[in-house]
Amino acid sequence: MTPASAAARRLGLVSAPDVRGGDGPTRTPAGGTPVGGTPAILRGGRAASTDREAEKALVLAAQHGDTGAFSALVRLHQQRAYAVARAVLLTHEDAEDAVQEGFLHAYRALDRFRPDQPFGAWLHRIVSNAALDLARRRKVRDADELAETHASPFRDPGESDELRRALDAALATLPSRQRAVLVLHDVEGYKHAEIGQMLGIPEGTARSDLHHARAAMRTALASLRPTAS
Amino acid sequence: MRYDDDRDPSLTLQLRSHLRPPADPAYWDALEGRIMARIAADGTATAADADPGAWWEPFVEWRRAGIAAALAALLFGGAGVWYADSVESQLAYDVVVETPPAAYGAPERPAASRGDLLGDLLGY
Repeated sequence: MTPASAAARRLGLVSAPDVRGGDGPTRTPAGGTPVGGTPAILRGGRAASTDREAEKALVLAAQHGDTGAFSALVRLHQQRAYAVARAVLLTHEDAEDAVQEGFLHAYRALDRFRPDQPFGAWLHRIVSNAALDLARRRKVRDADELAETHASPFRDPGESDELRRALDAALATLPSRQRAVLVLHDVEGYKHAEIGQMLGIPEGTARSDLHHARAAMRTALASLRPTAS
Repeated sequence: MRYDDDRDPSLTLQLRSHLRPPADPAYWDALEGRIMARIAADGTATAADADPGAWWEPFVEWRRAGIAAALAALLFGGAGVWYADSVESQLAYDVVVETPPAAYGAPERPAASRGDLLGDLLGY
């Protein structure tokens, strides 16, 4: 049973327990490890459809003031929301702040959301706006300071400090939007059209931003790359 | 399409590793708790921010009824004025039509003969 179905069932919003499929609401980043479970889109039409119905039931219940239902929506979407915020912002703490802001804004605007739309796309747009807003406020911070105090407590042991610092510094040189496009596309596996919708830019702009961001990262990290002998 | 041919698998792997989200379920439970706590605090703050002592608040619900009553009063008033005006006109008209010319002081002339009338017209 999918988390959306399980959450909806636990809250007594749906009663169909016959769903078999993945175990999470999120999808696989392009070529990467699934984060949070098998993507609904890969689980087959019926499961995905039931997932959407369960999510719709949660949204409707939340719109009627059921905070338990909204809490279930938070549980379902917070990891993807974090990934979106982390794409825009340089630090883990800022990404976490943006996620909280995003969910707060979403809760306040919940009565304006049409439940027949995908909740995730709507939420991610709100979170990306919150993240971009936070990025604008953080612009005054020094990139060098960020590189020193970058606070992701979830480090890959295989990642050297030198590489980590270099990546931080390189990411810090990118404009927020380019950084967001790069991470959302290459790390999170979103398509250009989805990114454009999320960030409020044309698809072509997302493509060119990606191109420029990759080029800037390659240049910034050139010294760390093993040279061909 | 020209932008799609510059993929860098090495950079992608590095970024993926670097930006990996927390894997500990306890972290996500805690974040969910913080989000819901903020929402609850926001709801409490919103309720507290509302001004409960405003003297006009009890009448806010009557706003629609008040507007409807005012419109109805305006309509009835307008209709009354129009009716009174038309009645007054009708009465004045009736007075004019039904009152004989003598009532307006028209001079009474003795019936003139046909010859006198012709003499008046021809000037002799």
